[in-house]
Amino acid sequence: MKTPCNRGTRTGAIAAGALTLCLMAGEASAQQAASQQAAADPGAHSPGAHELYYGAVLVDQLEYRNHGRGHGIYAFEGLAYYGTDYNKIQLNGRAESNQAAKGLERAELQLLYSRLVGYYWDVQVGVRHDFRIDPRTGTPARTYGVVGLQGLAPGLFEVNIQAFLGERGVPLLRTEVEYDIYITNRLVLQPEIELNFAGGRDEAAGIAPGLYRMETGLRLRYEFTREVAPYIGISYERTVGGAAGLTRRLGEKPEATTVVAGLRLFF
Amino acid sequence: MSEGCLTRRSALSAGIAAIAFSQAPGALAQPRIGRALPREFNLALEHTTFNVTGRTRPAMSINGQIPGPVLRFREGEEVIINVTNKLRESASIHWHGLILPSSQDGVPGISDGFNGIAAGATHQYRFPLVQSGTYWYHSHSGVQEQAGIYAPLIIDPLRPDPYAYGRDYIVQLSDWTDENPERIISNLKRDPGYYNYNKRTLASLVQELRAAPDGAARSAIIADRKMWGDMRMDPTDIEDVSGYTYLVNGRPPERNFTAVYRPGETVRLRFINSGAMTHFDVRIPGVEMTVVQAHGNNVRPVTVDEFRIAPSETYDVLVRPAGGKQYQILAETMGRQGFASASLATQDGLPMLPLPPHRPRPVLTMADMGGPYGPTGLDRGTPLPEVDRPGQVAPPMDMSGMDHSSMAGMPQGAATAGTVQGPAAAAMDHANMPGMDHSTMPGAQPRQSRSGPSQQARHNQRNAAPVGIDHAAMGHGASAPAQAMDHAAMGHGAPARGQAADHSAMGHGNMAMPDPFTNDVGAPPGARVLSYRQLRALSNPYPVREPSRIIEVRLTGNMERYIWSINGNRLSEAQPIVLNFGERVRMRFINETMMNHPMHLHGVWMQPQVGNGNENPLLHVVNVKPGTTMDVDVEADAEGGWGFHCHLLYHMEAGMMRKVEIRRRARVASAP
Repeated sequence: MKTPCNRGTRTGAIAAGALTLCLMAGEASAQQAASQQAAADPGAHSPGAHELYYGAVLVDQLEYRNHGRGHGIYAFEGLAYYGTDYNKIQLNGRAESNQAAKGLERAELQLLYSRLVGYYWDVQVGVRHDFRIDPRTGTPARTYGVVGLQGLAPGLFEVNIQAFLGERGVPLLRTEVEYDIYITNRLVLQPEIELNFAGGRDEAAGIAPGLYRMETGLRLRYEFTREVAPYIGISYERTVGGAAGLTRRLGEKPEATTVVAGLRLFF
Repeated sequence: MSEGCLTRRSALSAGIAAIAFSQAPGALAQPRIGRALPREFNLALEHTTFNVTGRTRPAMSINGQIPGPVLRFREGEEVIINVTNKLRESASIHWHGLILPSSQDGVPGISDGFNGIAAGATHQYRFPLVQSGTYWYHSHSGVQEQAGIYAPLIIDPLRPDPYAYGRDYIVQLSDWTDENPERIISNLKRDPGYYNYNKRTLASLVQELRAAPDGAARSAIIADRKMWGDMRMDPTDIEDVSGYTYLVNGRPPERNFTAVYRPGETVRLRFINSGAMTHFDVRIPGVEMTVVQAHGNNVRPVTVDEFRIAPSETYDVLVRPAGGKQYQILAETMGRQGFASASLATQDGLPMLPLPPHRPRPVLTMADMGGPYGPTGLDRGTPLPEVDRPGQVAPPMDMSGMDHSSMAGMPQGAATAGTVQGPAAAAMDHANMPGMDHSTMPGAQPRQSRSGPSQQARHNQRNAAPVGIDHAAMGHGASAPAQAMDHAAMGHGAPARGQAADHSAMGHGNMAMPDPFTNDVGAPPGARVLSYRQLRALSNPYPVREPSRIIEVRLTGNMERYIWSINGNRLSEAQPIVLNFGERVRMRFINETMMNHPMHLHGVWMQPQVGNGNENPLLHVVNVKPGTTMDVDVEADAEGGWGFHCHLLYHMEAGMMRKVEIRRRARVASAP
């Protein structure tokens, strides 16, 4: 791949929107180059040497959470990607409804360039945007730059570590670890933990230094097919330290245990 | 369809042979009259539908048939084949195993001057037939082979084969899926375990623990589970794709293809494995098989009870069914997912015999684990040094964390019931070899021909100079020289005879060091199972000589991402391997992955160094088992660009392919 475009992606300077175009252009020109080469050099590969492009959509959580009182919460977490073995564009999204305001409590979207760097690991860079949903109750709008590492750790743990730097200069770190316990070949128990750390304070967003928010869950899914798997489980969520105080100030409890039921989709 | 039986008499009566299958509607153009002119054949590739499972699914056919029409040629003649591509995409036809000019070989982008047959176009192939035997032809574009573009190709010999038979049948094995083959790739890419519903689970762990005889065995089972988890590998990954229906000549087992015999008659069965992703273990309970031909080349007859046939291999066997009974030709897949089956009977139209239960599903052991074998970047036959691309080569396995001592003294009986090579057996093996670096195992023992130690030493010297690396002496064990074991002293170095005895004497239990040539098909004790070692070429046009160099061909890949490559580079980023016209090279296949790879080289024969000297067989594909090393000599006597790839279709698509370029080198005076 000898296009200036791809050299650009390697250095990792990412303008997400432009990148997609760049990759497409890169592909076209690489193919052109390959066919020209083939004509000139009988030793070169041409049409057989194509790159495979493929993609997937994983809706990891699409669920209803219930505290056992009041309204429940709807939550979504998923990702989608498209690209080659080495270069992919990935979209991560998550959203959670607000039981009181009947709107969204928080919604986050990440657009990432993902690069395979090792047998089990992708490095990802891009942007994250938190949407301002409701001026009274929801979190404010924020945009962050993202650098992340996603892959499979020894012991078959799915790991995603992301560092964020926002326009307000507050650095954040999020680590997610998941594990699939195959009870049978279709019944899968998935424990999961997510820890959020901050290197500064962002009161409006409910962020305080140190570990400020954690989420852990245990979900039992049945894979009717790899594509469709309904699940049930429990989820525990709490804000910690200074952030707990910020949550209380909003009149909310800093911790919540919920029973969840939902659908996992992978296609 | 290939229902017709081919009698030897008709095969030998020249002109009729080509129309032996003319009862198939529109199967073949009639050959032109006249011996001097090349005979001309017409093939059309078309979209069609195919119903195997009860669902009518889109498929691709040759002349409306799946498999396509039998092409029956005569050795020594020249043929013209017009291939019309009526598909909506570019296509190609490759003549598998045929020795012909590169331009006629039919691999888009690799064969000289061939870039595929555009949709709607007709391409004319023209080549002389310089060989005889059982072959096949198939598309070499995308996944069209899986969709139905494959068919048998038989070349009748000029002089009669040195064995007699009454009639012959083609038994073409294949795997049919109702899924869109493109979808299969994308499924494997997003989840390499997508099709594996035989993973180890908590439920199977409980079963294994309950079956274990004592505490030591139980802790070995736990340790084994933990080890596989730590390595992030799956020992149950035997076959990548499931959901297949396995066919014989396009028929599922229920439709019972029947080879009709007369009692007392010798029947030649021409087995062709056209499965896209399937190794078959073949047996005919109650009938022994005499293998007379492998990959189109006659071999000294060897009588076996079973054989494994890797994708794209062909074996011709003679059978002499007795008593007028109905016999079952069983081809069970290596991963025990299903059977292809047919019948040998005195009449057609009988219902199939019930299929037997599946044999235990094999489970990979640590011995099947390829390790990092140095050196990298050198000696690959490429114009420039080549380094492994990130993410394509498995990281080194850290075995130091394993507690060997805790497994020592584990009783032999600990092997778990229900698996061919249970986890306990794997752990046991470690106990017997404390301190051993497994990553060095297969590479540390380059298996050479049985030409004697002195020749091997000479060979080492010769190769040490030009390439700067003495493979045999270094044995790839550089990473742990102090721990490297002397395999030869242990008896592993002695190929073939007495090996089983050696192993049992050494207390390895049922897990031997991986032997590249033998196949564990799960046959009952005493059954004769074909190995490449038993193949002795009846005639080998190439006198034995030392190879000019060793070309290292590491079979690499990423099981987690479904990336497959050769020497850490997929086709899209790889350089061609360049051979000099007239040289003999030794390709050293080192399988660093946990899967079998049937490696197919176009245009020239591969001679696996099985220890039979000038009787080493001539093969067009060699199946390289997980964790093994296999040396294969190649006489580069055909100029041009040639395909070189794993014949598992989706491995090839994912990048496990190279171009081999055989170039005539300008003579340059150089120091000796």
